[in-house]
Amino acid sequence: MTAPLLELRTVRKDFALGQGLFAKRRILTALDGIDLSIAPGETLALVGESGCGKSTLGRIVAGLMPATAGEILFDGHPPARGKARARQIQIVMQDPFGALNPKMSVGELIAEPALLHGLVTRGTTPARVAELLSLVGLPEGVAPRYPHALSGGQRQRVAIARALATDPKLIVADEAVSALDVSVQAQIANLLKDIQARTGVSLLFISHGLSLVHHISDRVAVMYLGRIVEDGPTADLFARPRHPYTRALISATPEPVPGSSADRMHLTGEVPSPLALPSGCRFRTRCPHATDICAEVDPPRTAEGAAHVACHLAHRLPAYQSQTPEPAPRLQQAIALYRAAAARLDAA
Amino acid sequence: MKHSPRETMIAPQTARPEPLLVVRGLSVTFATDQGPLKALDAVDLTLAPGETLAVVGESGSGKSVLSLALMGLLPPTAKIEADALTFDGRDLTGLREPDFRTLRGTAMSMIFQEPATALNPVRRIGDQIVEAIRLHEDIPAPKARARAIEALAATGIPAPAERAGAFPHQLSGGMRQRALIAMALVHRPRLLIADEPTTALDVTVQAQILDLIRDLARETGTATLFITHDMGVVAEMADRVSVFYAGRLVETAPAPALFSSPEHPYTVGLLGSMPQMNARGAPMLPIRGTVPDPRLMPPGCHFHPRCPFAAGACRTDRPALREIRPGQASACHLAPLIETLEARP
Ligand SMILES: Nc1ncnc2c1ncn2[C@@H]1O[C@H](COP(=O)(O)OP(=O)(O)OP(=O)(O)O)[C@@H](O)[C@H]1O
Ligand SMILES: Nc1ncnc2c1ncn2[C@@H]1O[C@H](COP(=O)(O)OP(=O)(O)O)[C@@H](O)[C@H]1O
Ligand code: SF4
Ligand code: SF4
Ligand SMILES: [Mg+2]
Ligand SMILES: [Mg+2]
Repeated sequence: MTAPLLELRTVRKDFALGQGLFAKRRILTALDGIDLSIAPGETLALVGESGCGKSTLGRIVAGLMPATAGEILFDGHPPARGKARARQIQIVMQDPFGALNPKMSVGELIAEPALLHGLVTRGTTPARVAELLSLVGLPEGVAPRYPHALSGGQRQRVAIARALATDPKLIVADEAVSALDVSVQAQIANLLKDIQARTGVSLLFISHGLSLVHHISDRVAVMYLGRIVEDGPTADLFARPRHPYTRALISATPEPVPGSSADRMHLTGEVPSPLALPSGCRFRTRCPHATDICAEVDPPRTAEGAAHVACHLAHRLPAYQSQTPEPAPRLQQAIALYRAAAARLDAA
Repeated sequence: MKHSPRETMIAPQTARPEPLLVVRGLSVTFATDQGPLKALDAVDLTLAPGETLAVVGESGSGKSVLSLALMGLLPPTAKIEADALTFDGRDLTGLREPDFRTLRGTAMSMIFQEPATALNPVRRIGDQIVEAIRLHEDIPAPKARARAIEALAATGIPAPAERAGAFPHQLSGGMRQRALIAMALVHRPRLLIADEPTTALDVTVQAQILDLIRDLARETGTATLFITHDMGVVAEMADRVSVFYAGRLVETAPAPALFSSPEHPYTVGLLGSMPQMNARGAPMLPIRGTVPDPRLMPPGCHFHPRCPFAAGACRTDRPALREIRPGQASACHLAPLIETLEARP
């Protein structure tokens, strides 16, 4: 195995809540005991429901906020700070609108990071901008345009071009496609994989949805209330999810086949407040398998081959039955015809 | 062969009672600073009592404009034209606002994507439901209060009597959506319009809310117009599906037919771009390009700049909606798609 590019060891993040003289100060633990690694050129997906800590983890990795405790290693060393870190680790956020300065043209936006890091001169800037635009599949004609005149997908491409401008080793994509239409999500997902194949950049792909994750990631880490409850190679994790929460997430994802939801596994209730964590296993208030020990003992994270799982009953759960049905033959035929026609156009 | 738009009427798939909602040739044009913007362009729709029709399409396809038009909630800048627009046998085109308001509170109601914006932030949710009840029904406050708590209980809110005293911000997103559903169903409407009611929710909560809407609609016999951009949610909820693209209806079909043999290239593209339809590790199949600017709609078929099958007539003639199979119609010059493509040299 290659040495990891990024490694997190027992990382913890506390937020102090409540300001003012009379407010009671409370501590919200957003991340607790996070162990994680990403290999060079690998795509690690981080999934979980809103508020579980995905963005906090992404921001810590990108150096936008410090961890409260734990160790972070990049290329085997504590990562550089400030500009040097930003050069190697870039982040792409969900809202392509908010992330781009509306007063700068696309060309200026894309040139900015490279200029900031002294990677281009005034003379070489136009060529670099052209190169980045083509890397993200935007026509050179958009360079003089402003963000408001672009579609959501085009704005997200600009944000990715900015992230690529410094030749980073790792890109953190925090819900980078979540706000886009599915047909455009597919374009951006292809783009990210294509760039990865060409540049060898690693991806931390943060998402609350599972379907795209299944398709584009090499490994998946599932988070619940500030903990990673299961992680493993993608195909294995989807075929044999070991943690009840992973099973519930997969099962709740609507499949584009009518009638496939019939025997869906149901979770009752919602995620508890991180300020009032359940005792023992954090998932126990919603877990259909919870027993006495779950309320008393926090389940440790144990290795299962290349995967890890944190559940007392991981070995005693009923075998998992995947319920994803095959698409109908005529649908497959229609899609194949569509794909072939699109490929002919792309080639022309 | 040329077809004028909508030359074929779509026969109901089985013998049904009188449709609850009939929309024919509905167009909505907004007056804007940059000139007129046609958000809906001669769309048709029928909904039978108790039926769930999903309206699906990408951002900007006109889904929300459709629901606002049906509810009489479009701004004055909108011009509405229709060959027919009837609800429960009643013509909606000339309906005045006070009558619409009565209709909205009782016979039809709506739930939105972001429940927070639909609820009053400074009033307790119980009071808001009581108000909704008493706006249209003359019953004493304590009785209305009991009804409100009952309605909250029906949506599965734990400790409903207690929760009735909460302000919206004290509830989670899923809980707020339940409260909104309770409010929408207090008068047992005949039509419920749900505009992306789960888009802002997590998947495990989405699953709960979808089940809730389905069960309550079934119990009360309410017909549902379910608006979404997610084909997975469509598969889960719909009896029939209407696919919108750039302000037009491009395909309509019973849900099983739409997913087993889609006819319109845009429907095929939408399904094909879902990760589930693509082999792991292989490039995904996107729909090329992006939706057109609504002020610069392409001539002919609105989908032609993105359609991989586009040819001559597609660039000049609007394709009519033609019935291909019982209850399934497609607005594409090539329909039936697979047969036509296979016959091509
Ligand atoms: N009040 C308005 N004035 C002018 N144009 C409008 C108005 N409301 C909607 N539009 C335009 O009408 C078109 C259809 O909008 P609509 O909100 O129905 O889309 P949608 O299908 O609901 O999209 P989404 O999936 O993003 O919710 C868009 O081009 C939109 O910009
Ligand atoms: N700056 C902050 N101050 C206080 N609490 C925060 C802050 N950022 C995040 N949190 C809290 O930390 C938890 C994790 O948040 P986040 O990482 O944004 O979750 P996710 O991205 O998975 O939705 C949440 O409970 C959130 O409210
Ligand atoms: S430890 Fe117990 S409560 Fe937690 S996931 Fe496993 S079975 Fe469920
Ligand atoms: S009419 Fe032509 S452009 Fe439109 S969907 Fe059919 S083949 Fe494509
Ligand atoms: Mg987040
Ligand atoms: Mg909408």
